[in-house]
Amino acid sequence: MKSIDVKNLVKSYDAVQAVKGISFAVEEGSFFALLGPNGAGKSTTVEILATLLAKDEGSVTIMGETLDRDDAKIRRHLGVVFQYGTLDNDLTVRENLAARGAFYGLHGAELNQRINDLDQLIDFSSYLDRRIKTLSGGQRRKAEIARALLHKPRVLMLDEPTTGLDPKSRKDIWELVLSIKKETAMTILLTTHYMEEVLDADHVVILHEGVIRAEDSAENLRLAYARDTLKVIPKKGLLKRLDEDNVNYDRVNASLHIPLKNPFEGIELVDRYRDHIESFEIVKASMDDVFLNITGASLEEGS
Amino acid sequence: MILSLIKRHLTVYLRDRWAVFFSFLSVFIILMLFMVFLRSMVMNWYSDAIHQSLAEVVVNHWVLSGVLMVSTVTVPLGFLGIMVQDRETKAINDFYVAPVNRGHIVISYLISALIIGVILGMINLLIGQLYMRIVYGEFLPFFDWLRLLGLIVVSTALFSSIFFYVVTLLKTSNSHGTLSTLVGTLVGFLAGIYVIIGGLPSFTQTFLSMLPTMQMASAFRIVYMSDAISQIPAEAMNIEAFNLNMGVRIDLFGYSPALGGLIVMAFIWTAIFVTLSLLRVRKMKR
Repeated sequence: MKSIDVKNLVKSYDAVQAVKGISFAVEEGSFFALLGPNGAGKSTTVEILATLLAKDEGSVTIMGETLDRDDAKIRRHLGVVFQYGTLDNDLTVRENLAARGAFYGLHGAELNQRINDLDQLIDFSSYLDRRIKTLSGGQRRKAEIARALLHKPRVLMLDEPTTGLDPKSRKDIWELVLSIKKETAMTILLTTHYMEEVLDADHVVILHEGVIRAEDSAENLRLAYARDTLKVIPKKGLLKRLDEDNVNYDRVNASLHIPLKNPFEGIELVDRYRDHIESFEIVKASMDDVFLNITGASLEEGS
Repeated sequence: MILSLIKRHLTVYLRDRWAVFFSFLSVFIILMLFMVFLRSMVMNWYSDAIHQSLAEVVVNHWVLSGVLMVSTVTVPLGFLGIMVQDRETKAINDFYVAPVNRGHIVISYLISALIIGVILGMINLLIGQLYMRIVYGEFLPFFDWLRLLGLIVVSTALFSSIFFYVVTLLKTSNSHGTLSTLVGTLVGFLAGIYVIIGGLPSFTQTFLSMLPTMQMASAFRIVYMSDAISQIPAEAMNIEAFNLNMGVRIDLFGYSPALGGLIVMAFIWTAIFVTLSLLRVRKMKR
């Protein structure tokens, strides 16, 4: 069953078309990633799906409910973690959760039980009674995730959840996301511009300038759009042998870069030319390479 | 759900001590000006006509009624800064993604402004009365207490609805801060406190009398000062002229509305701004 089904979604801000007729589907229980640089249309897409922003054209269904017609029902299914903090700085984590829990009918013992359950997953009991403004960036983000999970949503939307965090906090948050994926059956929709974060996704959509440029599993995208590379420091005679055998290569300073169809081809080449190779390494293609090859731009550069 | 939102808004406001302080800044300024020169200035006018101790009670009740009215203006405005801030920081999106009616979310700010305005207005009234009791041994009759409580509700509802409409047009906390400064500065004039209305040109008097600030100030003075004014001997001064001079009564093109008329005017103002606000809320839906 599809958790989210988006067809020909269009959204413009005045003269600028941010989302240009994109379509995608997210299977229930899957981990789905929208990858793209800033300005790709990721957050606009999430805000439309979260019922915050009106779409111009297209259709969206979430858990079988139609956007614009069944928004209240859709909201019951959604947990959303925004790029920015939405919790109240002057309230404690517990007070924030209590205020939001009431929207879903969670009060008293039921609310406390739910917070205890979340503590098993998030491990936030040490700062549960501290005000948000006294927490570190990573702790705040965990509190935001707790708020999104409070009512056991069926779809969790994470809009660039690790942006702006230090490396340690990013790692912590990412481990939490993977725990949620492992321990719950909920559908996760992630937007990110960090390529390493999509490697764990079941399905990746590459969004660039409001258009879907490619989609598949991370591994299939890598295989389709980027090549592993054999990097060698040559000994005398290697260039001649490669030219004789019509093997493509690029010279990069003192080394040669040979594009591979797969890692085994690299092993084969190393075996064949071992007498002419000083040293070598097989470098796996990255999602950044995939993005570069698909869009002609790097994730950092954006458009 | 709306109760949870109200509880959240009120807690957020009360935890921000500076926001509460600045909501009362105009009140503090009025009290300071009163102590520095307003009190002696007004006392000089009337101390020859009436006994010094009675003049003091009248003048103190005059300023306390003004302070009470001003708090029903500035507290709701200060409180509604939370709504502007929630929109500016997008914290309100956290409510919008919950299964809560958007109209209810927006209206919760208006109701909260009313609640906090009434509560702090009551505290203001209580402090003023304790002061009068301790210093002058005066205490308002019970019925006047009830009438003042009613006026606090009416006035807070009126100014909450006006400022609720205005803040729906604001996008940043900076603009709200500028508005608060402007209102805080002007309200003392618009209610005839910094400068007694009788001392202004006739055109300005009429203009100010058309504004809800002057109308509500008049309503508060009518109730707050009625007991003290009733003690002034009829032969001591022209009470009607005193009332018009001090802004106890206002003159609207020859018509001087009594308390009932002023409350009806307050209801009309409130109805106008609640209607405008509801139209804005409908527009704000995505």
